[in-house]
Amino acid sequence: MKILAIDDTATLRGLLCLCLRDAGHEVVEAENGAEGIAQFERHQPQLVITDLNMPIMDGIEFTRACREHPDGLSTPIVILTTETGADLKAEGRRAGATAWMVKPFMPDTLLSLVAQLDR
Amino acid sequence: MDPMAKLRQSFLEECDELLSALERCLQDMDSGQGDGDTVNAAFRAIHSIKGGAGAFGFTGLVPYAHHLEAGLDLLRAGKVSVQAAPCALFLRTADALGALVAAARAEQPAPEFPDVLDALKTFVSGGPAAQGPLAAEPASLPAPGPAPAQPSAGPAAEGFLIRITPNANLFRRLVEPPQVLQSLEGFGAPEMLCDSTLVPPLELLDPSSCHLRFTIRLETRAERGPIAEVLERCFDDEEMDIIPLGGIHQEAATARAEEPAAPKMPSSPPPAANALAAVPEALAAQLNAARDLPLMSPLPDASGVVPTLKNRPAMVRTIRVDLDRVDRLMNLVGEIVITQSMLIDRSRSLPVLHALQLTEGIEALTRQTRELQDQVMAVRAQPVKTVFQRMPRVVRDLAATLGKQVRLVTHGEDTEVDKTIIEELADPLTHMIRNALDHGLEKPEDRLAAGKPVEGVVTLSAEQRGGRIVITIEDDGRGLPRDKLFAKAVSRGVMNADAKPSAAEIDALIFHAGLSTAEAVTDVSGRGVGMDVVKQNVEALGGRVTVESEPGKGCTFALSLPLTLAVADGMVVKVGGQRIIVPISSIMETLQIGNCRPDVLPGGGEIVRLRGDIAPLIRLADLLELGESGQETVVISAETDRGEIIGIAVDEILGQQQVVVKSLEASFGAVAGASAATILGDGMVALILDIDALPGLVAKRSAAARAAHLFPFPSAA
Repeated sequence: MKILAIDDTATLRGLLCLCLRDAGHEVVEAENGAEGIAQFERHQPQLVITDLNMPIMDGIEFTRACREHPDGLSTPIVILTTETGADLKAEGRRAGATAWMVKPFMPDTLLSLVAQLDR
Repeated sequence: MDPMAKLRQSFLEECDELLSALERCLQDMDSGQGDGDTVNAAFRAIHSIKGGAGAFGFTGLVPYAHHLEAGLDLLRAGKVSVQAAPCALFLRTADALGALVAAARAEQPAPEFPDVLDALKTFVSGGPAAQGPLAAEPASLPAPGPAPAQPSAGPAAEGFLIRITPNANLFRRLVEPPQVLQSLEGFGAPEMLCDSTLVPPLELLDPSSCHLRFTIRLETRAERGPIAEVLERCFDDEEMDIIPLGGIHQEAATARAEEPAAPKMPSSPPPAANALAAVPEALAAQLNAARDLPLMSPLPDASGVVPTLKNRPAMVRTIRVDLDRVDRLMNLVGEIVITQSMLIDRSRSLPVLHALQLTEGIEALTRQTRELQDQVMAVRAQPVKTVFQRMPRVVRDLAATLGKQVRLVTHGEDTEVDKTIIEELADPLTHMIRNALDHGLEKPEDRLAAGKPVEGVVTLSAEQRGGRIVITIEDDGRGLPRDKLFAKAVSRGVMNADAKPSAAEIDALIFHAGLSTAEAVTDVSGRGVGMDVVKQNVEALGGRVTVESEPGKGCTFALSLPLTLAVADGMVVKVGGQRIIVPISSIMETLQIGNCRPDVLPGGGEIVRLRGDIAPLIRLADLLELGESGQETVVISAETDRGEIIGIAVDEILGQQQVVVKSLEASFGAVAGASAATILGDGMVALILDIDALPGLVAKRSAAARAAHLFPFPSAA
């Protein structure tokens, strides 16, 4: 599956990519939501995993922009964050996030979620 | 190194960057310049550290990061004002994190800072938001479970009844209920019912909205927490109810009263039997509709919103590139410049017609090479900010150690300069700032006695002048102690006791090795390695450092550095049969020597008139001992970095070209009057004139000449 991984922390993105690539997925990366949109347009990924707190454009704004994008209606978006607040989560859902996962993540859990969202 | 270890390593490096960003924000907040953006930036930094620390197993970092994050969140949420933030505590936490990162890097056990952690916890829990999610456990134990299980959830229940009433936008956020619900199979054998009674008639149906409700009976020994965790990834708390099977009867009774459609399971038949029958078809229909939607037509309610991506914020696209690669690129540009001047040289020996054709091509090449070079330079250029912003911390810490009150003012932080230079600047600047605080500024009581404000001011500024960047460090302290410097110089045999040096000459002794004058050696500075090392470092970069001091008023050090070390524009001139490069950046104009009426002064020096000003005339052939003078036809009017105008007499101007700057110090040794060398188109080496050093060189020469005149023995000179 082609997955877009968005995180402003290069190492966390690296970890994410490592984990996804090991499982045989193709991964494209972006450092923030705005870059994420550009990558999204360019690569048309089948799944997006995004961080929440990022400069320039955060995960929720990204999700909203993605859902407003003509090509972004059918791509599951997973928000992967250390945030656990119910308000934020609800905001994420309203923006159109498919799933919410809390960091630090266990690779197996992430991969099973990815498999779940694969269609 | 395996990829994971590499990642851990680079995470630690990133931590350094994040911590310094965090520190900057905290300092801004501390100095009252912080606003919401600052707090957000600080929050993001600590948030990234926390996330990474957990993911990479640096568990020692997590509690500090977590509580600092919680503290910053109070500020972010406006529960504590930025002004009231305990910046000192936050900064100490940042220090603790720095120490933890260092320990992690050295693979040492994580040090502990219980006082910092306790103080943080007190702040976080003492804050008005103590009951909020902030007071929850550290992030290493994410506790996504909402309310704890009801008391009735005894172990005898052995399972849960889960009711999910999704928000209408479920399909729009691409949640496919079957898949989510399948993940419950890991806990046991779920039985599922789908209630489609709320699905409107077809003509009113918005296929992208979800009108389904689900009820699941899950018999399991698992706890509520993990089950909730799986579901919470896709559903909100308000979208679902997880009820222990033990408490089902009263729950079901309530449910029946409120929601007639909610089935009671499985012992009694659900009230809405048609809902059960419709399960697979309705679900599949809705899902298929949602899936095919983008292909069919725009969403009914999205018609006004479709291409809103135009409104998204401007994008900043950056990549990180290994510095080596940029260096290789720059070297390559240098080589192209040399090859290009070789081509120009060769074209001169061609028959005129051919030469003309070639010249056209070469001119285009020249323009492109220049642009290429500018672009590569721009890649390497960085604002001095990166160095300047480390200084507030140095000042803060040192001022506290020394018991002085100091304000640091910075100007021109956006001045850009080559990355190599930036890197080499940090040490000299830190050293000079420390000197200014330790030696320059007086103690508060002395300042008061001298009628100065208690708070000392150190000004750090950068500006571009011609092809150079000038960085000044100015303090309003006591100035250099000239008598002490002189006495020390005499005692070290650097100067004769009966010498009568000028004030400037005494001040310049500060750059002499071993002449530090601090009475007491502190751990701050004053070990006698200081300004001489600074001077060496700066000169190695092709720069120079000067000092101006006024007793009782203060002292200013000025570093003048080339903007780039790689390529410069030069005028090729001929002096006594040699070709010399004069940096274009220093040249103001060139004149025929006859037009500026050189005059000989009684002392032996010469002057010229340059646009009404009188300037010293320097005959290069004489000064650099390149042959007989007297052949000069041209005077180059040039400005040194100290603003002096000088006239430089040369034999002939040969042309103008870009030159690749090759350091002399590295390959040959310092040459008085030359800042560097270059390779010309014909492969010969030419020296690049150090305009700024010429006045000093002339002064030295004439002093030597006077001495030789007074004492005509070589030993006295």
